[in-house]
Amino acid sequence: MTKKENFLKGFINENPLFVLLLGTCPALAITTTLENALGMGIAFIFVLVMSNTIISLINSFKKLKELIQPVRIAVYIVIIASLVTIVEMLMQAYLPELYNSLGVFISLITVNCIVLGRAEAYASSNKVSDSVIDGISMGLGYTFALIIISLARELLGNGTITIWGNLVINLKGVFEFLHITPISFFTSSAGAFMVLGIILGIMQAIKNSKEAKKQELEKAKKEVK
Amino acid sequence: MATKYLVTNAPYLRSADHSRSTHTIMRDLLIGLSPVILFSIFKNVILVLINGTYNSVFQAIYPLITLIVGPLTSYLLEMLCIFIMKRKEIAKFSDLLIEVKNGFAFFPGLFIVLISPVYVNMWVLLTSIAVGEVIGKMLFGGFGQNIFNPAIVGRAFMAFSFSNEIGVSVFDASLNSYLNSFEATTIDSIAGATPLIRYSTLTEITYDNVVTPFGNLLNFFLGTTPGALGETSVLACLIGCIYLSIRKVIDYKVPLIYVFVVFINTLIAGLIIGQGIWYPVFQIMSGGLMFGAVYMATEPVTSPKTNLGRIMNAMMLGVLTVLFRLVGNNPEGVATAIITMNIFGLIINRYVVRVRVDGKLDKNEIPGLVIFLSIFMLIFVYNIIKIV
Repeated sequence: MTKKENFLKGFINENPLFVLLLGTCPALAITTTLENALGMGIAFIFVLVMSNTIISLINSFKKLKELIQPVRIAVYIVIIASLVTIVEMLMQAYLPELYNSLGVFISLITVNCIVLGRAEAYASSNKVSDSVIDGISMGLGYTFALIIISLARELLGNGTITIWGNLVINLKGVFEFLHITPISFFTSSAGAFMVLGIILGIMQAIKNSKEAKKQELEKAKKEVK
Repeated sequence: MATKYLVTNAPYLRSADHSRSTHTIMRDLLIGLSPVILFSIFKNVILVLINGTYNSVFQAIYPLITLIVGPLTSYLLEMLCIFIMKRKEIAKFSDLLIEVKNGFAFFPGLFIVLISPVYVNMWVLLTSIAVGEVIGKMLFGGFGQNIFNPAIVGRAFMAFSFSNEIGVSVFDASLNSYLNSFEATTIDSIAGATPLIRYSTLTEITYDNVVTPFGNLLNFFLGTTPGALGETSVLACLIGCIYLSIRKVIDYKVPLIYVFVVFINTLIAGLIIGQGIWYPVFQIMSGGLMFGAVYMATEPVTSPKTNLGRIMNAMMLGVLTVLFRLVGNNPEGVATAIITMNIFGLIINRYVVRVRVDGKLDKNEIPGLVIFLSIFMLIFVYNIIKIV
C-alpha cells in the first residue's frame, strides 16, 4: 500500500463509520448541527493521530513491546484517556459553548472503538509515519461522514446550517417559500438512525453495482479469450 | 400429490385457500373498508355540503381529495421504488404495472388518509405517506416482507415529526384539523378537539365532563363525534368486521379479544374510581380503537400467523393500548400499541411454532407462556393502579 492509498482509504473504501460501522454512538448523538460534527471531528482527529503515533512508537521498541504485550489494551486505554482528557480541558478552556453542546461525548472518545481499533489493528504493527497517515486518514474520513449526516439532519430538521459559532446559513426562507416547515423528526435520534441507514443503503447499492460491472467485464474477458 | 403448503412471501395461505388468491383477499378488504370510507365521506363531505358551513367548495370536498390523492401517491411511489430497485428485471411498462398490482400499492396511502385528521395539511399527509410507503414497506422488500405495518409507520412519523402542524386546520389556523367545518361551528366551545384529546386534559372525570359535550354514547357508536377521517364510526367498523370475518379475510378473534381486554381493564379501573359502565364503553368507542382492531391489528403480513399467536398478540395489544392511552402522555395509543407488537411478532411466531410441532403444550413450552402471562398481568395491574 503506497502512502497515497493509505491516505485515501479512510474516505470511501474503509470509511470508519460507513464501511467499518465503528463509532456509531457519537455519530448518532451529536450530529444535530454541523458545528458539533466539526468540533467532534477535530477532537477526534487530534486523539486518533496522537494515539496512533504514541502506540506505534511504543511498539517500535522490541523490549517495550514484549513488556506490555499481556496488558496492551489497558496501556492503550491509558494513553487514549490521557489524550482525551487533554482535548477535553483545552475545549473547556477555549471553546466552552462547543464543550457544552458536545457534553459527555468528548470523554466518550476514550471508548470509541475506532481509536482502539486502529491502535490494535494498524498502529501496533506499522511504522510511525504510516500510522500518522492512517490516523489522519481515518480521522478525516470519520469527520467527513459526520459532516454528511449532520448536514442532512440539520437542514431537514431545523432549516439551518451552523458552520461555526454565529456563522449560520439560514435556509428557513426556502422552507417558507415552499409552504412547508422543517421536519423535527430528523433532529431526534430516530431520525439519525434513518439518515445513517439510508446513507449506508446508498453506499451499498453503489458498491454492488460496481461489483456487478466488474464481474460482467471479467466474464466478457473470459469469453474473448 | 400437490404440495399442501406453498413457499411464498406472507400472507401464508394453505394451497386449499389459494384458489382465493391474495388478489381476492385484497378485493374483499377493500369491500370491507367501504362502509368506513362511505361513512367518512358522508360525515365530512356530504353533511358539510348540506349544512352549508363551508367557506369554499374546495374546503368541503377536501377530505374526498385526500382520499383520492393519498392512495395515488403511494401507488406512484411504489412504482418508482420498483423501477429503481428492479430496473434490470423490468423490460416493459406492463411488467412494472403487474409488479405494482401484486404489491397492493394503494393500501398504505388509503389507510394513512383514514387515520389522519380531516383537514390535515396536504404536504404533511404526503410526506407521511412517502415515509410509510418507502421506508415502512419498500425498503424492507415490498409487499409481504415488511415487519411493521406501513400505514402505522407513516402515521407514527406524522405524529412525532409534525406535532405542531398536525392539529392545525389547513384552511384556518385557529381551527383544529380534527374538526370538519360543520363540527367547528357546533362544537367550537369545547376545549380539545376529539373526545380523547379532551379526556387527556381533564382533571375531573364525570359523564357530563367526558361524554356530554359530544352528545351521548349513541353518537359515539354511530360516529358523529370528531376524530380522524375514518376512525370515528364504530358501526361502520363493525359492519366491515362482520363482512371480513364471514369472508375469512380477518380472524374475528383478534378484534374481539383486543376490544374485550381494553373493556375489562378500563371497567375495573372505572369501578374503582367510581364510574359506571359508561366509562369502559366510552373508552372502546372513542378514538381509533375499533378501526385499529378490525383493520390494523389483523393485517395478514405483520400479525402472527397462528391461532395461539393471534390471541397472545391481541391480549398484549389490549393492555398496551390502555397503557399508552391512559397512562402515557399521548391521547391515543392504538397505533403505538400495534407498532410495538409488530416488533414482537417474530418472537410470538417462533414460540407458537414450537408449541405446534407436537400439537400440545409440554414442559419446555410452559416457561414461555408463564412469562407472557406475567408480563400481561403486570401491565394490566399497572394500568389499573396508574389510572386510579
